[in-house]
Amino acid sequence: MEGAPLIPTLLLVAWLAPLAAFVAAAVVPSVELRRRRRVSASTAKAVAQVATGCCLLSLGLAITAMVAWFARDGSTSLAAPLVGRWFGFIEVASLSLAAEYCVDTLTVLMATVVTTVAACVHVYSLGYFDEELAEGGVQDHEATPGETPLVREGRLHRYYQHLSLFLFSMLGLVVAGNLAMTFVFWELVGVSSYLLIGYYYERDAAGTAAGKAMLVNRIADAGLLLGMIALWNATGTLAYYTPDGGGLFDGAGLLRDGSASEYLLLLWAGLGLFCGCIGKSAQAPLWSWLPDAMQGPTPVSALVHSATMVAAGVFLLGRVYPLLLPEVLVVIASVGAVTLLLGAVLALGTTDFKRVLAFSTISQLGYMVLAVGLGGWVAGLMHLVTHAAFKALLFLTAGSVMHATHTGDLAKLGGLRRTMPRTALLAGIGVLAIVGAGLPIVGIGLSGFYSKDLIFEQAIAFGRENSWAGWLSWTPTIGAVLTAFYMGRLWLLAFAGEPRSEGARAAHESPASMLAPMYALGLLAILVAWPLPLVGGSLQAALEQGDLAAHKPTPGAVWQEVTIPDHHAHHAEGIKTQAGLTAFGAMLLGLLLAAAGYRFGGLLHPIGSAAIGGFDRHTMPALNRATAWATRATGGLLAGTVDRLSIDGGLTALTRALYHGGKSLHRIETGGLRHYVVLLVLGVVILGSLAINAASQLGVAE
Amino acid sequence: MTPLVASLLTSPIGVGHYLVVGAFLFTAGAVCMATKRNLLGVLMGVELVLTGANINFVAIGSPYLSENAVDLGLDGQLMALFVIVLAAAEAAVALAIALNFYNTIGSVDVDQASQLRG
Repeated sequence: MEGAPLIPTLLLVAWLAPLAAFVAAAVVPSVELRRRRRVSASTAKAVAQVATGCCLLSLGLAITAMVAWFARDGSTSLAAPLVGRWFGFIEVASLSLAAEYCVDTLTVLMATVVTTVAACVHVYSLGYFDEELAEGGVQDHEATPGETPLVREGRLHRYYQHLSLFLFSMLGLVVAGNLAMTFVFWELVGVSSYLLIGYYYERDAAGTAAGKAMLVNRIADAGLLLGMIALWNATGTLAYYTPDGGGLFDGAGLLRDGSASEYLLLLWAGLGLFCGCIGKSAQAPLWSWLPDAMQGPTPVSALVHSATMVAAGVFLLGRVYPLLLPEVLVVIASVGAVTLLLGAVLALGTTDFKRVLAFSTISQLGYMVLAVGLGGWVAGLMHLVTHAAFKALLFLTAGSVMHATHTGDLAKLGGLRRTMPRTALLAGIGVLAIVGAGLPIVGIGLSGFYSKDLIFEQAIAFGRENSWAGWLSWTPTIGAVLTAFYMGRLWLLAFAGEPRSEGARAAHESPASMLAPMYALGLLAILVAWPLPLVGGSLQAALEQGDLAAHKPTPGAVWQEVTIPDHHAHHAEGIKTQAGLTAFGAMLLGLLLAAAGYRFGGLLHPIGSAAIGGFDRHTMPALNRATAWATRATGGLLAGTVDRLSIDGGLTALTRALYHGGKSLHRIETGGLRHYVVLLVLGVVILGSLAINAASQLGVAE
Repeated sequence: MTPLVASLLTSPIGVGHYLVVGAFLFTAGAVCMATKRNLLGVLMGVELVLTGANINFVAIGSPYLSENAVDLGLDGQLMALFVIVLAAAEAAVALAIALNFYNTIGSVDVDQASQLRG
């Protein structure tokens, strides 16, 4: 078979190309900085072009790999992943840390999604960051508000360096064949996210946001690490699959059928893995870092903080799905549902363009997590793919708007459809895609229509199996109404009506290098879920090929009321129509509400903004602070008590006993010869009698 | 009367009797060392202890007292000779110490020798 080694090699090169760009972007400007004390604009531009080239190369290779994967000989098992090892690092007893790959449908699709969005963002950034190349440095008005703007040197090369690092890490995460490698790249995307959020590090808010993202993710990653260690302890391996048919999933199957304690261990390990997802995918209660992460450059928000990195949590859930027990899945679904509503409510009254999109990202991630938790592997990951397309598009339009008007405040925008008609059109496509516009009975719509309908179907199927879980099956509907409302509101406030500030009036359409990637993403946002005309496949069919969900309904063992429906349950009679009509109705209701609000001028009502803004900027931080304070106080109290009572007290008691013991013993050292003689004789008698006793007992024993 | 003492009184002279004498001498020496304040008296106690040990050596090593006599049967006697030689040497050294002690302190009271008390 030619195809078997070909696909991993393609992905290996696709994975390492950004690393090469990263190294080049790190070395060349450093050398120039040392020789000439500054990095010239031409070098920065060259670095940007090299990084873009490497990214396009990765994109080409990823697409080739995807085509090769779907075109491979279908006679072998469809779902069988390609696994193998590139190179090993550490081999100690049963612990093996190696760069292994695991290529399946999920891998090739995700690699393509990541490289596609990354390529768009790389190209887009060339136009977006033109001011970084200006002669005489960059003027940063936001670093020192109200004063003379800060002037700094342009650092486009650093931006592309971090972007390459991110792409390398993300692709490593996607191809990783074992949990340890996943964890390493999981942390690396965290690092590159930190670097990119803090790109404008002269601004206080950016530095704080970067630190916050790092810290919040560390809390979550502790759970991931613990889950990983627990799994390794229980199964002795970290590889998802091994070529001989073993591996983590196989071991987990044994644990699942094993004793009650083994089942519980797998339960805790699954919760640990999901804890990592909570941090990375900004689920409740660890979501608060994501809106702050919008302090980074807007293209970064498009790539890292909406389309790919934050979706890595959902990707991880999709990857380790066979390890997740029904009980864990219900926890996942509940967290997803809460996040979905929370994000949507917060997006309702927010007045910052990017922040609305950030909350919408949180809400959509909640959709994905909810879908996976309901047993909808296909639904969740399909929404990941479509969301990557339309959310990246929306962020790029946000960047385009902010590039033209220098503000993201919705109160100061408006009327941009006249000055920026293409951006307005593309944003409209994004909005229609995210609200899931489409015709339910005919079954034609934008990409979000297909994935959102699947989630609705999954929720209904889950609700049919579990009568107690009504709220889980109704959450998507409420979320859809809210989504349609806040997205409609966003578009109407930014693009319709009359300009509300000088900046909005003077806006101009963005350059072609920014519009081209937006057109590409706009096309994808419409088309990505459509059936391919000639080949006869579709995104859904492709995902169903790699479906990891169980083939029969799985009840929980600990919590027996839970039943995760099998992966065909959502095809049951009547579900599709019901889901389609519900979704359509919800979307229509939300859009009508937004239009009504616009008509009567209530979209920027101060009460709504104050309520949501207060919740966003005061209540939630206060809650977080209180939690952190309580944790620290409890920990401090516990640690202090334990330390003072047991460790400190033990040591003090020991030294005191030694001191007093010595002090009282020293009284027998009288210096009198006759006392010594008595002690000597007594010692001999005691030791001698002991020896005789022991000897006689030995004699008896013999 | 305990059975042990009874058997000692009724049986013919054997190793046990000698051991009783040795133990008596040892105890007497030890008590002498512990109670005498006179340094020379303490030295006498030491000699008594050594004598008690010597009697034990000779008695246990004697072929006449033990039933399974070994061929040469001189182990105990040789050991006793060593002890006598050592006792002579020890006496010489101890008397030198006593002399120096007397010269320094002006007395042979061992209770005066308490300068090393902790």
